[in-house]
Amino acid sequence: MQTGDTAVTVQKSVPVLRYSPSPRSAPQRAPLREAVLLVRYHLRLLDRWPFALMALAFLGCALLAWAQAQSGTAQGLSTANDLSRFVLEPGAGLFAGVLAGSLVVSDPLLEATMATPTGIHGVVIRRFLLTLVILLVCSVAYLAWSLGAGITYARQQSPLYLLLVWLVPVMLMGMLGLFGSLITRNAALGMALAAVPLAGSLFLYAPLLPIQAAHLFFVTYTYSGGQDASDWWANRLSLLAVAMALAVANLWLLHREERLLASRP
Amino acid sequence: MAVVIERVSKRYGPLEALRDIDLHIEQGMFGLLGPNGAGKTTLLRIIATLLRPTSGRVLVGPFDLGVTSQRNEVRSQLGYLPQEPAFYPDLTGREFLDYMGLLKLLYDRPARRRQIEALLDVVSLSADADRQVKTYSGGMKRRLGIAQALLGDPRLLVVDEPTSGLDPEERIRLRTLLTWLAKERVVVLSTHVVEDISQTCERLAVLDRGRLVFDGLTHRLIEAAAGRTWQFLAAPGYAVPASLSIISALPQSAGTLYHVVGPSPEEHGPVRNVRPLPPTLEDGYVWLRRQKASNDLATLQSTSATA
Repeated sequence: MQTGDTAVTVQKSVPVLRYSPSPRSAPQRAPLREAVLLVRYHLRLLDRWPFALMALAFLGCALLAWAQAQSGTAQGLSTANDLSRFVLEPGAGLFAGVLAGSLVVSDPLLEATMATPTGIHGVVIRRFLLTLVILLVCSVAYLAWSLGAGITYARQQSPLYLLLVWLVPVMLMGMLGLFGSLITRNAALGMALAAVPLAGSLFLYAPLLPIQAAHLFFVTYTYSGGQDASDWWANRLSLLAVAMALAVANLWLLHREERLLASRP
Repeated sequence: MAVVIERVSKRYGPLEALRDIDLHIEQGMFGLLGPNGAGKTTLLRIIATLLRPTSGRVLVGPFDLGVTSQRNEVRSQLGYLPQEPAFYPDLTGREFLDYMGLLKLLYDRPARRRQIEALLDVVSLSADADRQVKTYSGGMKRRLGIAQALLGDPRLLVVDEPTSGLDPEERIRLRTLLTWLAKERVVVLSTHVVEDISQTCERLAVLDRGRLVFDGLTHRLIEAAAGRTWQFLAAPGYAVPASLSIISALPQSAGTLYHVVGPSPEEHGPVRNVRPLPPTLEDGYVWLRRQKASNDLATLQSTSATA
C-alpha cells in the first residue's frame, strides 16, 4: 500500500464499491440458492463439538439397547425399551437444552449482527431450527432402528404419539435453555436451567405421583412409566403449552437487544 | 438524510451515561470526541439502533428510532463498525463478508460478490481474502470490519474507533475513503485520535461525562485555542505549572522542548525561546477540557459556599 497513491486508488474504487443489484433480482425474500447458502454458513458457525457428542451419544445408546435386546431375556428387552424411551424423551430434550443455551450469548458477532436487518432474533431462530433438524435426523434414525429391532414405546404407538414423545421435551427444554441464557446472559447457566425440570421429574417422580395435577408437568412421563397412562396426552399438551409460552418470552427477550449487549464491554 | 438527536438521555441504573444531548448531523463527516467514559459509544449505539434512549428521541431521515418498524427501516440503510469488532475465526475474510451480506439482505449474488471484491481491494485484503480470519492481525481484522460496515451501500455509516490498530498508511487510506464516502451519506466517526477528526470532519461534537460540551465547526474549536498555544525550551529539572496543559514534551540536548496550552509562559529562569504556535484541533480540544474542568471547579466551589 503506497501512501502517495492512496487518494487515487480510493477515488477509483469508490464507484465500484456500490451494491448494484440487477433491477429484476432484488427480492425482499431470499431466493432458494441464497437461503441454502445462508443455511450452510449457519451450519458451519454452530459449535460442532456438542453435535458430535450428541451423535456419539445416540450411537452409544443404540449399541447398548442392541446388546440388551440381543440377550433374548424379558429383562433385557425391558431394559432396551426403557433406554430407548430415555433416549428419545429426556435425552433428546437435554441435548436440545444444551444446544439452545449456547446459541446467543457465546456468539462473537452479536453487536454487528444486531445492526443488520436480519437482527439477532433472525439468526437465533434460524440456528435453533437447524439444531432441531439435526436432532430430528439423529432421533428419527434411532427410532427407525429401534422399531426395527422390536423395541416398543407404548401399547398404542401411533406416529403422533411418537412425535410427541420426542417433540415435547425437545421444545420445552430447548426453550428453557434459550430462556435461561437470555435471562442470565450466560450460556452455561442456560444449559443448567434446561436440566432442572429433567432432574425434578426424575428424582421427584415417586413423591409427586400421588398428586394428579403434577402428572401434567412430568417431563419424563413416558420414560418414568406413564407411557400408557390415560393422562399422558394431557401431560404432552400442557408441557407443549409451557414450551410455547417460553417461546413467546424468548422472542420478546431476543428483541430486547440492550439486555444482550449488557454482557458485552 | 440527516440524523436529529433531541434531548436524548440514557441512564444505566444510577449511572447517567448521556444527559440532554441535542445534535443535528447533516450529510458528510461528523466527528465525536471525548475521553473514555464520556458516552461516545453509548451515543453511537443509540444512533445504530442498538440502544434505546431513556428519554428524548432520535430521527434518522424520516424514521423515528423509537418505533420498531421504523428502526428496521434504518437498519437496512445502516453500516456499523463496533468498537470491538469480533469475527467468526473459522470463516475466511471473503466468506465472512458474504455471510454478512446475506444478513444485510443483499440477495443478488453477482452484485454482492462484485461489491465484496471491491471492498476487499479498498481495504487491501484481496491477497488475504481466502485465509481464515483467525490468522489475521489486529489491523487486518479492523479493515475487515470496515469492509463489513460498507456492505450494501449504507446511507448512514456509524464507525467507532475505526483507525485503532491501523498503521499510519492504513489510517490515511481509511480517512481518505471515509471522506469520499461522506459525499453521499452521513458518516458518524467516534475516535480518540484527534488527528483523524481534524483531517476529515468539518463538524464535531465533544462529549464529557455524558454531556455535550461542544457542537460546531471543527475550525471553531481550533480557533478557541488561538493565542493560548505555546512552545518553549525549558532547562532540565523544570516543572511545568498546573496552569499549562502539556501537549508534547520533546527531550533535547539543551533541555526539553514543550508544546503547551494555557496562558503565556514567562520567559525567565529555566524558560527560554517562548513563542506562540498556530493552534491545532488537539490544542482546541485540550483547551476546551481545561475550561470545562475550571467551570466545574467554580460551580463546585460556589455550591459549597452556598451550602
